[in-house]
Amino acid sequence: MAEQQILVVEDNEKNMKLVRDVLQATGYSTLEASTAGRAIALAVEHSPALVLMDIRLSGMDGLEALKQLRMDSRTERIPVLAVTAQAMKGDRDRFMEAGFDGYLSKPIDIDELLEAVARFCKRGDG
Amino acid sequence: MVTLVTAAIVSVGLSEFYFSYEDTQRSVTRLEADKASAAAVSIDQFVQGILDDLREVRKPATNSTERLQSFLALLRRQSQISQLTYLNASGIACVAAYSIEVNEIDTTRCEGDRSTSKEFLGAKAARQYFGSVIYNERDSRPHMIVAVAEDEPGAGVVIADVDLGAVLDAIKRAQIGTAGYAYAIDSRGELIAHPNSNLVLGHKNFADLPQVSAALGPGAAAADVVTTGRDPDGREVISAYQSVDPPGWWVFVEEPLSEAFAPIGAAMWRTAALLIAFLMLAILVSVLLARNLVKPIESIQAAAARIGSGALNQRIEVRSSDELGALAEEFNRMAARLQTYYADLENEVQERTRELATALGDLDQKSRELEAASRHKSEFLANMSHELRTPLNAISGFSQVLRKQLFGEINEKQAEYLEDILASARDLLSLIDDVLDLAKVESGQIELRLAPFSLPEALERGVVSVRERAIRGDITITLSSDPAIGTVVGDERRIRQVIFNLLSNAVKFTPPGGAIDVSAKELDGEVRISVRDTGPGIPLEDRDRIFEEFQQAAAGKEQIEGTGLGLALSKRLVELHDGRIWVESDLGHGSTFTFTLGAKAA
Repeated sequence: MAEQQILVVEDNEKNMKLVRDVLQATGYSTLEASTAGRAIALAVEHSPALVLMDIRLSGMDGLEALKQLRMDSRTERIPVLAVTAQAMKGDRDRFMEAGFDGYLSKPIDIDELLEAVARFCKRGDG
Repeated sequence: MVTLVTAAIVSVGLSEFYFSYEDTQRSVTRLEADKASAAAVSIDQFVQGILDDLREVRKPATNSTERLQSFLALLRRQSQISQLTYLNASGIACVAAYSIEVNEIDTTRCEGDRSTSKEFLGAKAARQYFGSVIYNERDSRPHMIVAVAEDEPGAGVVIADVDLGAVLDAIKRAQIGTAGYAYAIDSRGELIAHPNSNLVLGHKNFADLPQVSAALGPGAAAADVVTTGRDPDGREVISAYQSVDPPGWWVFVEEPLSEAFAPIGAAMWRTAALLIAFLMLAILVSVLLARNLVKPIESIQAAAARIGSGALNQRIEVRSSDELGALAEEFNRMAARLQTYYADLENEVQERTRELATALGDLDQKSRELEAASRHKSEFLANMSHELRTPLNAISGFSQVLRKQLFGEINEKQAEYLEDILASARDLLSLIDDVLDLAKVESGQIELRLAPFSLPEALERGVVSVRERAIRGDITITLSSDPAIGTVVGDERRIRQVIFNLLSNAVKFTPPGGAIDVSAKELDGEVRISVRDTGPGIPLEDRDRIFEEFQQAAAGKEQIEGTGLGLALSKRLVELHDGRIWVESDLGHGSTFTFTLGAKAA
């Protein structure tokens, strides 16, 4: 089975490194973007199995990026998980309502992350 | 006042009039009575004189000549008798003598039968008789036939023709005033003497006049006064009468009312004129008084009413030097002061209104600023949360990666350190959450979601969440909840947060081998939840401070690190539920934290 490709959108270098390392160590390949624009371009280009989307980004934010992905027929079916430090009360509901397929708050629980990723990638397989 | 004056004057006038009427009537009637009496006396004397004279000639005579001689002697002596006639017992005239000297007129021959004449029959019956008044055609003087019976038995009657001029004179003398008059009547009411001889000649009978019928009536006094008389023409008269008996006559002295009371009438008119004059004067004075007294008062009253209704510039125009003038002046001063005060007040109000408007503007500005500040604060909190979580993500994440040994094995010590790092990361995250919650409570951004929930279950979950740590610290946790307590109303998540905070602190500060007891009971209509530990206890001076932000008892500080915000947050959350939270502590032996859920929770 070919490695599932996961697009990680994250503007914090350390956090990018954390997710990348964990994913690569657990058998996924990663595409990395530190801006929403870059992320959309990569998604269009590679059609990744899953997008892990940070919300607060410089320039276009994660919510806008999700909207654009959903509007593009090439990317509209790609599941997008919000992985964000915006973890105050009501944030989860807000993001789920906006159309994200899942929500992980920072600091992330590695097991939780891997579980969620596995769930969406399997579905992408099918 | 006019009425009073009028009444006084009228009553004085009326009483004056009444009394003068009485006086006048009294004096008139007294005068009349006196006159009547005097006239009566004169007439009586005259009649008695005639009767005395006749006594001489009524004595029996030896013959006719002798009788004639006595007759003539009397006629010469008594001028009031103009004729004497002797009727014998049969009524035949036998001797006749006349006062006038005409030859052969006196006679002693018996000729002429007068036996059926009134005088003969009257004298025979009553020994004396007074006839009707007749006027002698010769001298136009009143005459009367007086007849007396002869003293000697079997004798005749002497008839005298008596001149009543004396009676008429007496009557005329009795006249009073200009319209008053007197008269005499006989017992039948027929006139004997009256100033108006025509009435006497006409044999006028006055018996129908009220005063006459009163005098002739049965039981009448010999002399009296009649105030309701009438004269033959029907005019009212005031009358006094006196009887003359014999011969059974009555003398009346009268005066018409109009005449009698003419002086009173004049007095009455004078009085009435005076009365009217005084009335006019009284009215005039009243009007003047009203003008001088009432008008200023009315003017003051009207001005006061206008001032009362807000026309503060109103002044009273009363120019007088009396009390009213002073009053008006005082009133004007008062109105002026009032006006000044009012103006001041208006200025004051305007000033205050301006200040208030400014203050409101400031308040509005402040409110906008506060709103902005609140918005900034929210943004700040969100940013802070985000910025704190981002590095924490790396710390926590890499530690987890290491602990999962994704990139190679770690030794025991390293594993222990990783646990420490992760525990600290959890504490830090909890601290961040508490700070955010506290900030939200402070800025009123927390809204409770009140709903019924099971308190025993919440306590159970609280105990479970700290059990692992308690076991590790060799601490026993017991739960002793009153079975009667079941469902309460509140924001379950927040209450659990409080329970967790208290339990978390208890675990933190209880040394190994210690014990924690969690209990819930109902007291005074409120539910009390207590967490008792066997920690170091809290000094008295710290028992309030620990509920403040970032405060921690000195005793706690040296033992175990804490968030320092849990109690502050718990206090706020409990108070949001209308509850209270406090601590009781036995220094060195432990503390008991208790919070209540108020009536809201029941």
